Amino acid sequence: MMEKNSNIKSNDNSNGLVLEVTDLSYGFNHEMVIEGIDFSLERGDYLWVIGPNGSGKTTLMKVILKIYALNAGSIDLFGKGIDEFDGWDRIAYVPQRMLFFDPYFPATAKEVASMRLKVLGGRQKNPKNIERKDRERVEDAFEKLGISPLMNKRIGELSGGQLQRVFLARALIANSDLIFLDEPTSAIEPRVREDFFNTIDELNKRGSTIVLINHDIAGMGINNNKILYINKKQIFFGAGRDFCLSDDMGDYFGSSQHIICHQHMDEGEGVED
Amino acid sequence: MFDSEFLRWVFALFDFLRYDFILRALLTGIFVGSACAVLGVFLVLRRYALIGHGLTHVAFGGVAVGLLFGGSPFWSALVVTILSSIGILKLQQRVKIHADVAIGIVSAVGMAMGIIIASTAQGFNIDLMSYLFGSILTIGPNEFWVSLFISIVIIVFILLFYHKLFAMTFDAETAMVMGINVERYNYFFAVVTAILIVVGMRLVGLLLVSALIILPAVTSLQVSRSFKGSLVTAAGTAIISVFFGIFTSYHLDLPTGGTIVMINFFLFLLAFGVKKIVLENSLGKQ
Repeated sequence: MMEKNSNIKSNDNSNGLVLEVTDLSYGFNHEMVIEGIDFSLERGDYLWVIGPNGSGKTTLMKVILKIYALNAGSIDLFGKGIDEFDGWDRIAYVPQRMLFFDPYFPATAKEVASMRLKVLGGRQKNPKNIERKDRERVEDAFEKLGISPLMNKRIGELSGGQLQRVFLARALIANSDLIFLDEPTSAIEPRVREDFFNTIDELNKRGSTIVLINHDIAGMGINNNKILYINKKQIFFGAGRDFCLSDDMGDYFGSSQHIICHQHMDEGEGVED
Repeated sequence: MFDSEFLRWVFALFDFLRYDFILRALLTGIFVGSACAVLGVFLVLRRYALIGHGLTHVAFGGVAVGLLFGGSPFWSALVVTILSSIGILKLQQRVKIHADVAIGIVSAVGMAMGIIIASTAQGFNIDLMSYLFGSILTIGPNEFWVSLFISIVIIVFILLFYHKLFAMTFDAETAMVMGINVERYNYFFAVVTAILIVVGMRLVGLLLVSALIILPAVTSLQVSRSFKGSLVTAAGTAIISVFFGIFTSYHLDLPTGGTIVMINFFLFLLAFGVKKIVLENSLGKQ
């Protein structure tokens, strides 16, 4: 059982807005990578960011996370401008498999997964029982994601999918209000993918806002209530249901759109009635 | 069990430990060596291994400045090297070049400065040479306490910020999202490296001091599975090599700095061999 998300703070001045992106542009070497991105998310939203390869999805995520410096436009996190924002303990990030990942890096899966908890733990005032509680939380997360036997394996010995699950464990061990995932299932076999999405759904139901980058919307359930479709520029932002009915859907998925959309509409009717 | 002849032989082997100057050398070497080794693990993994080597060239220039103005070469080298280490990071950011290029530029300038000063102001070339080769056995009480203090402070700092330093070494971008000021810790690493290069220069000399940073780290990376384990193994490797370096140089009358580095290299070969054997055994079982 996952405990109820306890660190969602109601005393911020965000009016329920978790993320507000206004006319965001980002360029590099005099060339615009993304332009005119404009959307906002409320608490508990589940956003899928889609778009072809090289459309700027990952760049957008990294600008929002302040990994890249903002060029133009504004980003508000929990009602605060990105430059003033300091509540990084409320935000978790599951990166794409690291680009320059060193397979000989000396770290166990457990060390990597508990890293964020330990870094944030430095801010806690009461160190009593922290070691034991931390250990339990790490063990729970590994069990939940079906990777318990990998706990003491060296990180370089894991497969791509196992590594992605360790990164997800790192994000969900410390409760977060806003979770960013960059193609988290790209290296995961279909059988495990479903479990993976179920875990993310569960985090969402507990109140966490989810921003997830993916190539396709196969596996997208009714929970995925918002879609942001970009290709350098913003093409669509709105409810998943509206995306299904729009022409943008056809542009992106071609002739298979009816199948995908029908599937999701059916799922949706069952749940919503 | 042991006859007295054997015991006498063992006592004779460790006889050197009764000298004050040897004990000072040993303790300085153990603490400075451990600090260098632990720092080295971070630098090697962050692909900054050569910053130590580059800074030794700068320290050479710094020593020359000190000798020229008749001040303390230790302090002049310290100031010049710290400023240069910050310069390397600034150069990297402003000119947008890779770390190795920035290190190359700054080290060349430092070395050039040293050569120009040494050849125009005649008379201290011999002093300058002594900094190239170091002399761990001539460390005086003052230098001893300064080295000990600095290396302990550095080790404590690394332990204090261990989780943050580990996170940013593993993946700087994710570390930023954890709220870690990665840039600030980059400067921390650069300044600490500069300080240790200057402290270590008295031990094994400028020509070899970067070996204290790289070799124990690389040795530990051959055999460590966890990050914590790699830091402990690196420090252990440094301690073993300092002890047996002084031991061997005393008995065989070899230069101490060079011997410490050679033992470090043999430990690296040993670790590499162990890794090969373990790897082949595990492959054989499959």
